[in-house]
Amino acid sequence: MAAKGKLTVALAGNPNSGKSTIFNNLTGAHQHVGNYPGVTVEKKEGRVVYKDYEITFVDLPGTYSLSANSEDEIVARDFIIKEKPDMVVHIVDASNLERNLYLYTQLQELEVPIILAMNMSDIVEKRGSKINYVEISRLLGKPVIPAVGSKNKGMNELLNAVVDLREGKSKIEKIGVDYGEEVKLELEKLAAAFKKAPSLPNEYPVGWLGIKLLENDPWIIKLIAQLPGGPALLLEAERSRIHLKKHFSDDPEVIIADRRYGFISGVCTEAQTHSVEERHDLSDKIDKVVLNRFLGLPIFAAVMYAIFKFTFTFSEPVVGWFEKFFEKTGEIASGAIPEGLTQSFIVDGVIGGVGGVLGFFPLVLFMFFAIAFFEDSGYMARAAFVMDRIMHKFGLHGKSFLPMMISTNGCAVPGIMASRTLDNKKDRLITMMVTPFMICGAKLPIFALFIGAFFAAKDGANMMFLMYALSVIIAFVSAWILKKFVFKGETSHFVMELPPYRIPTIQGLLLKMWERGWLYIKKAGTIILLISMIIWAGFTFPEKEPKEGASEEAAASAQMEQSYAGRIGKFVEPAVKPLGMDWRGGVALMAGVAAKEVVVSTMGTIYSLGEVDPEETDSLKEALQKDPSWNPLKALVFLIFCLIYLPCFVAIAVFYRESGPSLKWTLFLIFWTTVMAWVASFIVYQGGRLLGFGG
Amino acid sequence: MKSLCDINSGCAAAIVFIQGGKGASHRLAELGLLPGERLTMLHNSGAGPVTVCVKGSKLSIGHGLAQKIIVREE
Repeated sequence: MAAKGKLTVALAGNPNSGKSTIFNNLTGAHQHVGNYPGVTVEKKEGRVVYKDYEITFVDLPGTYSLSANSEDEIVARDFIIKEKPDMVVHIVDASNLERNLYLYTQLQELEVPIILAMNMSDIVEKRGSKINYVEISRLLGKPVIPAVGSKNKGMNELLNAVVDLREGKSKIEKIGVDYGEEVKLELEKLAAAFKKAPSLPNEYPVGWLGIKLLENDPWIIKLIAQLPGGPALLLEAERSRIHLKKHFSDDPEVIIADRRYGFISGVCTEAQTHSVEERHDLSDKIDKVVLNRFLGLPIFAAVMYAIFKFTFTFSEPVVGWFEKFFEKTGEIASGAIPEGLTQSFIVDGVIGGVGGVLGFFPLVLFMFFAIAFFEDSGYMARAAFVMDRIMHKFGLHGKSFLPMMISTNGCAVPGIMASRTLDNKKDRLITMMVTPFMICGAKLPIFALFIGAFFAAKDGANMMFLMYALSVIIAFVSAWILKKFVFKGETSHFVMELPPYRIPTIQGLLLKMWERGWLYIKKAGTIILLISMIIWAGFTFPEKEPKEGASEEAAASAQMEQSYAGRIGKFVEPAVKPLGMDWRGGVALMAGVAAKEVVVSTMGTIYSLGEVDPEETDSLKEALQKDPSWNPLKALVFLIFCLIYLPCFVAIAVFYRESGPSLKWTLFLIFWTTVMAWVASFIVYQGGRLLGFGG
Repeated sequence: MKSLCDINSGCAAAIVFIQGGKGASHRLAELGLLPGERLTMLHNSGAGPVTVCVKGSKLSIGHGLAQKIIVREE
């Protein structure tokens, strides 16, 4: 039978409603991640063929609302309005019906066909509550499918519902929120005014636009203000707002939210039967301990420590295999390719550079896995709560913790973008400025390499934990200084939902780990490979004939020193000398501005070019250990510098865009991080020497 | 008049009104914190954010904001 056609289905839902699990169940391995056009919010798409339909599911960002509070909310509503998916599947956490249906009241105003998937229906039953799904379906006029994402239940029913809706077999009724006579009257007035305005983009439903104007939605106001006839419309809307405000003696947006919850409450009373005292469950008991004033912080520290212990203990042997693998590959390549430029390019440039970075791939995977576990379990939201009190003292917002965590989690780029959840511009800028201090996935190899080389294996996890603690301290102190001297004013309010605790699904964890891990590999295979090649060339050219009688080792190091990269290194050497580094450290740091992994790959190239006997390729770690110009103090200083100094190009570019774009703040970021890095390294190095460490 | 910060853990209260600025009261309203709404204080340590149960879910609210939510203890 021939295919009946293609379908685009958007998945919408609150954060923690189990949207990702259902998306994964539905689409399996057929997913890909991209960006929404024009913004950097992640866009996940997956395909499935069902009953001769090719269905593309688009995972919208998780949101509680579709107001213009954050970029995510705007992306979600713009996707529905502008991309016009054939339908929306709204994933609802059935165990938290009232809160979840708030999004529904807004989705249905966008006038798109909706199916409700009631996820976690098993939890509802376990609690002894009952939901009458047929009744909800009748009350909302939409198909309703109970499902249990974590057990892969209800997925076929959901797909059937999608097909049925497409084929016109299900009944859809338009039943919306009753906003009451006063509001309705104003909406009608606005609708009439819209009809008179010839320039209105007709992709927006008029009723929805009216509500948004009454809600004083800044995004919509901006949009309409630009249209001819727009200012008159806005004036009309303002009149309506003033009228409503007088009538209710409250802001229209509050009245509208109230009516929406009223509608939901009506639906829930009809369709839901509660058991006695439902919510004082295990989750509350755990929270009593985890959120405790005195225990909260030590528990948080213990969780972080557990993450590092887990990562380092279990990844160590695997990292060893990877290192051996690249060593062997290098040896085989040296044997197979005749000596000369080509051999050097392959062995020293490509394998030495990229191998150094990919060697740490298992470690990064383990780290992602451990953090995903705590994210999915619901603990990370508690961490923001626990941290709010301290962060507040430093002029940060409890929510700033999440961008910082995301940066630690993977990369400062999504971290900087995640600071969008902060409403206040100053809070956002501070958060964005301190987020790059965190140890991202790209800095991780640098730390793993130097800690592995200069500190005993059993201290590895401790040392790493210490470095993470240091990154947090630096971020906090720097936030405090910024708040005190640069961004004065009140920190905005903290309010967030604490999701119930859940046992993460293995599938979900593995997928998350793989998604982030794959980005790491992709980077190593593209940007890092390219930069490795450039750096190899920088060290290889211009070529110079070795002096008569000089040893091979001396010749190799003389060649490097007079190469382009070496000359750059020599040029910056005076700046890094007081920090205990020589020109090689200087080059590696400069290269690291392109991407932090490159610090390691540059070291890899330097040391493999320096190898005299190609048969004896030491791992980079061993090479560093053998080099007398390094010692634990210098390694520590090098790490501190890497921790603080300016973020990579991509992060700077994203910072620029997210800051306004503001050239002023971007230059400030570059200046600020460089100066901080230098001063901190200087103090530690010279202080350490005075105390008799290193030398 | 008591603010949300004055409610002890385990006690119930109803919101009377919210003193917040425009943005804050809209955000709170969207999360279901509206005048008339009943809530249970789950966790109030006297400093830092409080945790309340409202509409069947847990919300954590910063200290400053909680002070602006005026409630009647029940």
